[in-house]
Amino acid sequence: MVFFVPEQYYDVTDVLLMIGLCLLLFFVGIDIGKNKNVFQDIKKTGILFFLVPIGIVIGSLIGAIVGGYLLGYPINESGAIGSGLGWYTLSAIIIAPYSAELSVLAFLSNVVREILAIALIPLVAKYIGYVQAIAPSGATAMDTTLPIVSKNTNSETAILSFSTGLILSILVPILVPLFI
Amino acid sequence: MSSVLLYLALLIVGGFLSYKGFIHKQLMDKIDKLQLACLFILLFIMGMRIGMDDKIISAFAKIGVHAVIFSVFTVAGSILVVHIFVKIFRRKEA
Repeated sequence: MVFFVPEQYYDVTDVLLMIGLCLLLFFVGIDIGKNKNVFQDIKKTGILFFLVPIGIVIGSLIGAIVGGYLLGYPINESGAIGSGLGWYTLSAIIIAPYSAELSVLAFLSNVVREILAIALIPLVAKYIGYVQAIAPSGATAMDTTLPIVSKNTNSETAILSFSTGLILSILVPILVPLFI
Repeated sequence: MSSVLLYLALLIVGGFLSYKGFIHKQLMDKIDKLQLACLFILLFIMGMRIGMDDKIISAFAKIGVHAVIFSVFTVAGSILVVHIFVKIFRRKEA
C-alpha cells in the first residue's frame, strides 16, 4: 500500500476515521432504538441485568491488565485493549489515532476473543452455568454470539445476553477513550 | 474525554430518533447495510494505515502472540467475575 498512497496522507486518515466513526455510532444508536419492546424485555431480568455487564467489564479489565503486565504493557494500553470487550472494529478504530500498533493489537485480541467465545459458550453453559456463558462474548452478546447463547441455554438467558451486549456496546466507546 | 461524550451523544441521539419514530422508513430498512458500509470503509482506511506503517508490518508475529494472551486473560477474567457475582447474588437455581 505504501507504493500507492504517499505517507503525507496519513493525517487525513485521522479525520476520515473520525467522520466514519461518528456515522457508525449514529447508525448503531438508530439500530438499538428500533426495538419498541426494548424496555419491557429488560425489566424481566432482575439485578443480573446490571451485574453481568459490570462483571464482564471488571473481569475483562483485570484480565487485560494482568496479561498486559506480564507482557510489559503500560496499564493504560492494557486497559484500552480489555475495554474493547470483543468489539474488534470499534475499539481498533478509537485507538488508531493514538497508536497504530496498539490498534492492531486491540483488533486482533478482540477478534480472537470472539473466536474463543464461539468455542467456549457451549462449554461454559454446560459445565459452569447459563449466565456465565454470556461472559466470554462481551459486547458481541447482543448479535453475533446471541444465537449461540440462545441455543445452549434458555430464553431467559438469551434476553439477558441481549441486554448485556447492549449495555456493553454502549460502554465500549466510553471506556476505550478513557484509557488512551 | 470530549470524544467519549461525543460518541455517547451520537448513540443517544440515534436511539432517541428511531425509538420515537422520527427516522424515515427507507433509512430504517437500510440501517444494517449502512452500518456494514461504514464498517467496511473504516476497515479499509485502517488497513491502509497499517500498510503505511513499516513498524507494524515487521512486528506482526509478535503482535499475534500478544493478542492471543490478551484475549485468553480477558475471557478468563470475565467468566470468573461473572461466576462470583452469580454465586453471591443468585439464590435461585442457576
